[in-house]
Amino acid sequence: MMRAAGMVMIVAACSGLGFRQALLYSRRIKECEQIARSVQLLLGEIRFRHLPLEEAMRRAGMVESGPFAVFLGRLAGRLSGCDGGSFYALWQEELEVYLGQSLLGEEAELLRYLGQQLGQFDLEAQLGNLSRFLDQWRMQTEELKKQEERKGRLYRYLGVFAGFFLVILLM
Amino acid sequence: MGREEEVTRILAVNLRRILEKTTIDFGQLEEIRLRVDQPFMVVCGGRKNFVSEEGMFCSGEEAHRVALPEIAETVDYISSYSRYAFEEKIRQGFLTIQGGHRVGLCGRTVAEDGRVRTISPITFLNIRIARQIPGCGRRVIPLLWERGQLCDTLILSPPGLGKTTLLRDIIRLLSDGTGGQACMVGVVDERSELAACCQGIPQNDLGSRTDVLDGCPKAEGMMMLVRTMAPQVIAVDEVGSEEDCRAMEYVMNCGCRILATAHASSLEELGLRPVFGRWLSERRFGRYVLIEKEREDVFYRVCGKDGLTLWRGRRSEK
Repeated sequence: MMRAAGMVMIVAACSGLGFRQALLYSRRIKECEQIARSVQLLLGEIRFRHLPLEEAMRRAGMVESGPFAVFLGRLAGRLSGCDGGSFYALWQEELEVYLGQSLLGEEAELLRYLGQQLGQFDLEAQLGNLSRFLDQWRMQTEELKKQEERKGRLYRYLGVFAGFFLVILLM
Repeated sequence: MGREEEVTRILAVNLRRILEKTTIDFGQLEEIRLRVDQPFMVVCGGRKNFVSEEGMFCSGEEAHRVALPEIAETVDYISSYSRYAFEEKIRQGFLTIQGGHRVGLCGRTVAEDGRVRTISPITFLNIRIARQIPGCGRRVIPLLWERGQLCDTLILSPPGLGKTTLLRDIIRLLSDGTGGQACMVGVVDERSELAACCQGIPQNDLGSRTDVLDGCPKAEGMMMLVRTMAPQVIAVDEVGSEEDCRAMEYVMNCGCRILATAHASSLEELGLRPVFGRWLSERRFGRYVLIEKEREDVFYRVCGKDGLTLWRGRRSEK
């Protein structure tokens, strides 16, 4: 009886690991979509109201939800503090805190690059940078969705089969 | 946020530390001047002082030399790290910060088709501290009325004598009905100095019957106010361009009264300018208020449409 229960637990644990790995992909996609919406809001605030970054980030952070919205709100607070440091330095500091609790990997590079571009040059350049970022970001999200389709299924099957394999080995 | 904090928070961290060490009376502070590689200067009670690293007033040699990164950091704070949001203002050579304090900008201009596109790098800053002197227009305001009608009024002085301060107080008094009948006042605050709006909310008291168009070009703003807000009086600061004059003429012919300021130290000087010269001879304005400085004191001179003095008196602070 105990043996059967152990086998079931091994299969369940391995399957759980596989499902968890697959779930990471869907969470990452969800977060990417939240970021795209926040940046779209940022773009809108800058295009329509010509708001400075601090105010535009504060507004975008209040409208959207999720960790990236919190990041924007925190960064807006740092910018209004006028406590030294360039925009990019402050962006980097807050981004590291945000990435520490996030699921993002390759996307981090795109976000770092966005930070380098923001606040530079004129309005036209600003809007152009944000639009280009959004295009790249959407491509990245599409790529993630394709990966999720392929690898998500793979992780789930792998988890279940690994469980059975372990059980057979232990028998 | 107090006036002291409004001003110091936009300075580079190092300059802020130096200013905090000084014994400056912020009530008397008029200007802070930053020039690249030149001494750190503050203008206080009419006196120009250099400030040392230790926050002491000193000679030019001993003063703290302002470095380019300090100016760049200050510009970052003034523009909230977003110069793109202030392109038009930078083109015109100034920015207005919270509290209505004006920051004049100079440096290398980038021109395109004979027009200034931007200033980059910005290497000279003049932070002019805005002051409210509630009641300074109290003695002037009864003289702006004639037979129960408010006269079109032009306030004149050279830069830095308090035209905007007086205009702000007259707007408030008119709007609240002090010294005459209460009026609906429309203000076109192109430089955000009169109302010092923050997200459209005036930080300065302009009275209870005042509507403010913040950051709007004067000529366009005057037309908008006439069409939309039915003002009895329209107030504008620092008029001078032909476009402004055309809009003012339109307003005066619409049954609205004009309250405006312009740079000139006398009526004779004003008469040398094309449109104003014609208006002077046509007696378009019913009143002129000239601001004059004698030693440390500021005087107001109110003149009628013929240029004759009706009253002259020291500026009251209460």
